[in-house]
Amino acid sequence: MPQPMRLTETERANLVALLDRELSEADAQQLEAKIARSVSARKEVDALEKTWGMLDWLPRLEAPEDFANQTVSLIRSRQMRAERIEGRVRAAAGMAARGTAAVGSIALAALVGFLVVRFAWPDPTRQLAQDLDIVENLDAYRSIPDLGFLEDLSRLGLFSERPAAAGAAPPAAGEGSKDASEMETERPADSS
Amino acid sequence: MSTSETSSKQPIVQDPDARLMLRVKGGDEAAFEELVEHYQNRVLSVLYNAVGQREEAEDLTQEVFLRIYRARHGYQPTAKFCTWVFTIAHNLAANAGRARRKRRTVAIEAHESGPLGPRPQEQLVQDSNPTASAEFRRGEVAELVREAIGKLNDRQRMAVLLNKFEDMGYAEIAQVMGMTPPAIKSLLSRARTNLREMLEPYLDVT
Repeated sequence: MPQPMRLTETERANLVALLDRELSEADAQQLEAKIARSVSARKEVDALEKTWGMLDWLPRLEAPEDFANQTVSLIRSRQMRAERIEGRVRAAAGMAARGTAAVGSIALAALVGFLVVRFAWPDPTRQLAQDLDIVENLDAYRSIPDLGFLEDLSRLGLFSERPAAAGAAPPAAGEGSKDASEMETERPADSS
Repeated sequence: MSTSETSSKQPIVQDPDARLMLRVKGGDEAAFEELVEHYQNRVLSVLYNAVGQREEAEDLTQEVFLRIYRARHGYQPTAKFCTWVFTIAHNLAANAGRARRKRRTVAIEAHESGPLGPRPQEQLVQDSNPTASAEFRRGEVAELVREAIGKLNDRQRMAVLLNKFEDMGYAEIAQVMGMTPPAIKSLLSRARTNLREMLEPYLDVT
């Protein structure tokens, strides 16, 4: 049975690779054999080769005489500009670093100042709050004539929930029925 | 370093352009100027046919060398130097193409010729001269070919230019364009078929 003369799509796609010598040996031989038997395939190859040859008409430019010099000069000037910009950026970064350090120092000094004022400096208000109990009862404390009076109260067991000391004499009848407030009011009168 | 590593790197180090670039890396500015002189026409030609305007192509060519110079400190000769050069050129041309398309706010009219200037066929129609095709001068044929190249999409055009101008194989074009060799094979096949369809009517003229 004779082989078909027309090229398949794959063979057609391989034609250019064949002309460019980019086809494998086996594929190239197979395709060449088919081209040899097909007039239309030969025409197609011929047209591809000729139109490829027409691309020789495409212009191949020559750069201006001083192109290399101009290019090197351009590169140098751009490099110098880049270096200048880099220098400016570096200087700006240095300034920013110095500014940051200054701001940091100021912030640190402010923090230290605050801490000193807050914890080391005596605060009269805090002292007053601490002594508030005393201040509130100052009049009562002032009415106490001397330490002996307080010792008497202590012996009576007024400052302790424990019973009075074993050696201490129980208060005399009538006397023991007096409460502290009575004693408090009586004593200044006695002393006076 | 093992022997196999040495032998695999040897052809790359033998690349004279890579050696020049290593000198540039070492601070030799004369070597850089030598590289520019060696590549300027090749890069300019590819970029001119890719973007279609000489001034833009010259600017892009300078940008290619600027990028090479900037990258000199990190240069490692791990591939052919020219592959690296044309990879940069391809990226710049692709960016320029994208930027150009973005700038285009005016609707494209049917007779507009695209990035490569006026179409010779348009002139022919206006001339209404039946024998004009037989009287094409060389410059007109060149214009036809430029127009045909200009009608290819960016990737097809770049692959064709690298193949034609730089004689690069599919593997190397794939490396430059960040694609696989089979993709390049398919891309070039479509590109060459398109070119054949556009240029076949003018084969007799040449």
